[in-house]
Amino acid sequence: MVLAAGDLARDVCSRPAWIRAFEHRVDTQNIGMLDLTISNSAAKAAAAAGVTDDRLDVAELHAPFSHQELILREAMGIGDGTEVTPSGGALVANPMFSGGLSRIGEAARRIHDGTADRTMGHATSGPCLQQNLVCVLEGE
Amino acid sequence: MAKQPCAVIGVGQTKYAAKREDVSMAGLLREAAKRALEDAQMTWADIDAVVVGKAPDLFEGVMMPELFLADALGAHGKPLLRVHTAGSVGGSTANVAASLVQAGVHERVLTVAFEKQSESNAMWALSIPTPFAMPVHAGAGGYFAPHVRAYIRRANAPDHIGILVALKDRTNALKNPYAHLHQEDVSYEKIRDSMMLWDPIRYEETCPSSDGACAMVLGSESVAERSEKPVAWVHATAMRTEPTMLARQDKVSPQAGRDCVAEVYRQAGVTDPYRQIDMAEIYVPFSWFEPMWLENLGFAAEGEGWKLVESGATDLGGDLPVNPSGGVMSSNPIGASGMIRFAETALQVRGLAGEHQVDGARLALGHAYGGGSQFFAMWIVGSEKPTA
Repeated sequence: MVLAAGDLARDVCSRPAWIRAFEHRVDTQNIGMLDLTISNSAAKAAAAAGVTDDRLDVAELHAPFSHQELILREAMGIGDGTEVTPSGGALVANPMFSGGLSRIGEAARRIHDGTADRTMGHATSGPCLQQNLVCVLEGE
Repeated sequence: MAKQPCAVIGVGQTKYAAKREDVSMAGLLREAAKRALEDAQMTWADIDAVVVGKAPDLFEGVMMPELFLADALGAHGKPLLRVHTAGSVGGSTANVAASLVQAGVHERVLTVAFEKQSESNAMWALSIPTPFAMPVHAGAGGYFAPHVRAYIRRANAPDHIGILVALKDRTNALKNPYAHLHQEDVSYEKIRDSMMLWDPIRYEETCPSSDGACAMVLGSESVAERSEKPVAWVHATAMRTEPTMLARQDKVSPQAGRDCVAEVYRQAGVTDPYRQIDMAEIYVPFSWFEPMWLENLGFAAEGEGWKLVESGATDLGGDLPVNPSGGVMSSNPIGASGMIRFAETALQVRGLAGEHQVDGARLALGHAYGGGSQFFAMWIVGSEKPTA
């Protein structure tokens, strides 16, 4: 992934995917202290990134196990109007340490090709969704 | 692009030792972090984000240790970022933490780096064959000894320079209560007569294996200006990298090191480093690396670094004191060693270095390298807020 700032991004890309928010949070790894049916860190990261406030066209979620998508959708307040993980996500390809970057790349691609105006890429790390990162992207 | 001012508000270090069997890894980190918070007159709740660094996972055999350390670091519910650039990681970690303040993302960042070598075997970790990487047989010393030999040949340096650096660093360490090695009976003869480990590196010209952690609290301009204690303003940060196995790499004076220092000097407006920099904490795991880095960092002309050492200029009372803390030669918790260099420069310009304080230290260079002279991380801190 290549990042550029300001006018340089406009010069080299016809429709740059602007990073509007980038937030991450971690929970304790002591799973005895956590309710594993929810994800506090995902909820906090999404709230800080403003995911729940506005319309979201696409959410690319990094959910290596299928039930995690349900937990993440609920934690982040992703409604039925949002297309969730159209790329197929980690269930169809999971090069673990680039799995999160792939989600952000897929979310950016939908801005680049003009099929979405506001998207989100998500990454998780650690057992039971311990650490969660949210990147919100927009067209001009 | 304009950066927000950033300053070191607090510094905390553990006592460095061969085996800290009184604390777990989590306890080691908390010891340093709590001291940094106390120095900053803050509590865990004041911290916006935590940036942690350590050397390869294989050293302690714990995969992604930041995840199990999240609550010990007070990071639950907060952003936690881990940095990994081998031996330079402590420096890189501090630079990443500073960037979060300089970018205006956070106001108060806790940054911590650690290594618990007693729970690991770095020699083994550096010597086993790993896929797609050259094994470093016989640990770091076996890898770096030929580079030292090349330096001695190129600079036509006399044999005793490595002894002088070791003697200086171990003598300085006696003034640093946190240092691992406190050799009251250290002498030129003892170092000279110690066993040859990796020719030309003698046993006493080698760093120890240490347990330890170092932490800093970095703050924004408004946080720094509210501090009741002196702060250390960040004047420059830079990192540069080159491939370890690049055939044309100059192992004696790597290009990445020269590029990295040129960038910190540019940012800090330093044109004559020997005159303008008041003291430096340089990553010297084998004593011969002091003259090598003095040249790489522009403090001495090529081939002249050893003369600076011989003249006593890098002694605690010299023109350019280098490693008044005792340096890596006296304490080496690998992942923390770079951050200790950075933190010591902050203590010096704050005037809080205690017995090893350099009189009138106002501008200081912190240096770290790692990964077979592959990664370089540096910063310059000053007692005054940068004007630009």
